[in-house]
Amino acid sequence: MSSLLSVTDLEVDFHTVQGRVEAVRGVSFDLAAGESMAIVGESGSGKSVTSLALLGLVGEVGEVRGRIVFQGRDLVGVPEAELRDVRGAGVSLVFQDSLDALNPVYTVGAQISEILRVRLGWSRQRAREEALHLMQQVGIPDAHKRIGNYPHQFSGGMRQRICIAMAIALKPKLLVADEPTTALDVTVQAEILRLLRALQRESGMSLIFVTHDLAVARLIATRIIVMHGGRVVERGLIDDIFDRPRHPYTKALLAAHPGRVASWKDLRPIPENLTDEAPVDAPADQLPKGPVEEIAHGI
Amino acid sequence: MRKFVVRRLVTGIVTVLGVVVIVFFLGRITGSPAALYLPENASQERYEQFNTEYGLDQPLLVQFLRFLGGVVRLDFGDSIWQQRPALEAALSAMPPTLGLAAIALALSVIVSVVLGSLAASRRFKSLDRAITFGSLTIASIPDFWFALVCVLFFAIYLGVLPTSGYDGVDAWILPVATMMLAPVGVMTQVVRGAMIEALSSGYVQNARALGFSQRRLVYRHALRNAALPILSVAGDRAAGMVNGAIIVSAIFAFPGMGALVVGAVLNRDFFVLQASVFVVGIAVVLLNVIVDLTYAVADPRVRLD
Amino acid sequence: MSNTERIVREEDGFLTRHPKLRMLSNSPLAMASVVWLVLLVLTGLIAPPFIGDEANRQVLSLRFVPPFTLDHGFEYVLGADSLGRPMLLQIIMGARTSMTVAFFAVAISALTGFAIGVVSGYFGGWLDQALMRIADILHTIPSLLLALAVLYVLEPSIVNLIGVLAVTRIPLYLRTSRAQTLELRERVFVESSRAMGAPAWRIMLRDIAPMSLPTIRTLAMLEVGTVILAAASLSFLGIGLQRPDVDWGMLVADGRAYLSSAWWVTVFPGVVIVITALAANIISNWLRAIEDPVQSVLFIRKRPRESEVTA
Repeated sequence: MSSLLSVTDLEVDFHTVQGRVEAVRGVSFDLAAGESMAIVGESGSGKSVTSLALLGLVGEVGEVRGRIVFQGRDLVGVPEAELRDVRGAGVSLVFQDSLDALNPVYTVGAQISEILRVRLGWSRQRAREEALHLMQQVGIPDAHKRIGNYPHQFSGGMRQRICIAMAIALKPKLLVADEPTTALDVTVQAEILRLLRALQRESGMSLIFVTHDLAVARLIATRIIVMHGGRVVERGLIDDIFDRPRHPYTKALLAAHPGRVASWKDLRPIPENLTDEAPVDAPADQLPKGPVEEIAHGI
Repeated sequence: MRKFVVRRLVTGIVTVLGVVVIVFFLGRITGSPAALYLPENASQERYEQFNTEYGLDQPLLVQFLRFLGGVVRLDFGDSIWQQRPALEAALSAMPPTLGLAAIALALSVIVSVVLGSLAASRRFKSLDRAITFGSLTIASIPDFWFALVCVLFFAIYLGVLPTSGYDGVDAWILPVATMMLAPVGVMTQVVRGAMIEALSSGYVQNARALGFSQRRLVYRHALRNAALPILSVAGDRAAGMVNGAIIVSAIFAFPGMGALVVGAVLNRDFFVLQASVFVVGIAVVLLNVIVDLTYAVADPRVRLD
Repeated sequence: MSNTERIVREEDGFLTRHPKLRMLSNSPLAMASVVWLVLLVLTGLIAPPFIGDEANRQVLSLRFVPPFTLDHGFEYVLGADSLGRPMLLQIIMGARTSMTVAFFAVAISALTGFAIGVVSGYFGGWLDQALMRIADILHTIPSLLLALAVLYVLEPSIVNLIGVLAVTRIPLYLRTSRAQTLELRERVFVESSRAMGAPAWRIMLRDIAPMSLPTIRTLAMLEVGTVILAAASLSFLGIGLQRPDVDWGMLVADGRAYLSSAWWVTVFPGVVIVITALAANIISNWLRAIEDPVQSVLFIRKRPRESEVTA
């Protein structure tokens, strides 16, 4: 089975005043078309850097090594002009902070339309119609009226929907969502997750969902890789990980989750030095072989 | 919106009044205020005549009230030197200065935006370093010295530009260039800083993730946001333009507020000096209000407050 | 390894332990600027007693001696002015005046503006409003105009010059420190001090002031260049100082009448002004750059490698 995305031995370094920071080390994973995968880890585990690296957005002070093969083409070391073609149309990114991600001085309609006009060469009229349609698709009520509003006039949840609308405007094959719900209320969170699943179903696009929250990961993904200290420490099907965690870090992560224990006294903080433990891979026979069916977990 | 304008104007007028009051007291600090108004070799009788005429022998409070009364009537006294009301002299000196300042400021903004954006988008590379160094150097050049060196080079050595005068584009080139030094030097850095900040913002990251070109990111996404602090700074520099005008008229004999003020100092005409301070103050206040309004128009987040 | 241990540290050494010095050594411009300013300050402090008389001595036979020759001695290498005084020495004398004026004007305005801003921001109310109005007034009048007016009234002297320059620059520091105080005032650590019964002056001194000091310091560095230019402008117009106090602006003004015949009298003092103001600006620019985590990287390694610099 050929995968949509195949990451092999991804390594990212940052050069800082204190020295070289090894942000990501030896990360490898495959993703098939239509699949949804979660990358779970705490802050500093390298999960966000990994998602940025997929689009070549690591920046001036970072150094990327390894292979990122998307639709048969390795994106590492590719010139910026080619990366631009892939961004938005092949792989798209949704950021955590939706207020920050939207330009405060342009209307949301203008920002969505711009993508279509500039990347696809559409006319103003046609782009506006599609922008309207996209806003409705992501569930923004009164889209006709709100298309002329500015980002600061929307609530957090609405803004995130707009960001999603912008991300899917070019119908990408892969959507990477970097903690898109972390800053939102729980109820809004559920709606966004529902939206993402619906969009996936409609378009068949793959999803990489980055989060620190295992419970959220469980709601949205079928597969999961757990990152700690820049490395992948465990990978497998979501249910397997939950029921039979093998790596000490995964176990600690689960034990630290308030939803998993009976009393707060049973909560355990995650010990510091768990990356020394060797990463654990799911045995080959447990990895999915074909398109994954929906796993309903209460959405 | 209207309430805002009114409020700012009122504050502004209070400020200008404060300015004028300060200048008033400034004129009364020395033991013999008349000395500020009269030529140095004036006779004792002249002094006494002056004192009575202008009520300088009255108690300070009375003087102050008379002065305020004058201000309200827009009467700043009569200029001995110019043989006309001081306020009239000040007002008629404004147009050339405004013209000079407007042109210099507009050109400075254009140049700074171009250079600053270039520097920001090629950050840390040689062009950026050259532009940064260049703008720091420009900001370090004293305007009066620059004017003199230009006169030396262009007028005396090469003979292509006039050393003084008002008519013809020729006569405006060096004065405008001189007045552009400080703004360009400072604003280029401000533009660069604002652009760098805009370029490292979330929305530019997002736009980059959507595959837009660097050029588009800089000129369409970042610049529009960077324009706001640039506007602020340009407004701030407006007051500084008068400084430039003063120097320029001292060196190029360019008519305007600069010439008037320098002349007032040389000719010991404190009335004109007071009136000039008043007129300039009002102009600066008006300009600030305009800048604030423009800011409100340009930034949608402010508009709805 | 925990997250912090993933940082690969470079070999230990003197420069590693003093990161600021290391960054300075990687930046030749900043180094040169520091060297120049130190040189200037030292010369200004040490030289005047030795060369003061020489500098002011009018040797009419040496009027308008051109520069770049050593025929008349080392001190005439930059030429002489209309009264035969050696330019080089006059410039050095001017250095003392200019640096003194700049230093005190900046120091006084920074400290005063900072203090008033903190007090104003902390107490708020009518005091704050009144102080802000005063700051507005000072800010509205162009500084040169105000200085003209003040020095017209008062006699030109170093003290008055410093005073006028200091006063016109206060609003800048006042606004900045007030804005920061307003923000800091609401922070938890201030709240807790208040809850523990600390008196206002103590809170301002111990909690608030140290937090806004770095910004003020950066601002002050930036201002040094501006003040040098402003002082020179005033002296040039003839209202800043009078002889025997000599300052660079005054020297430039001296040469104005002889521009076509003795250009060096005007040009050289101006060049020194440019270099000095530039040095101050370069240093303040460098100080800001090293405080920015992204930029400071470039001062650690000489040049970023190609692979690191993506668009």
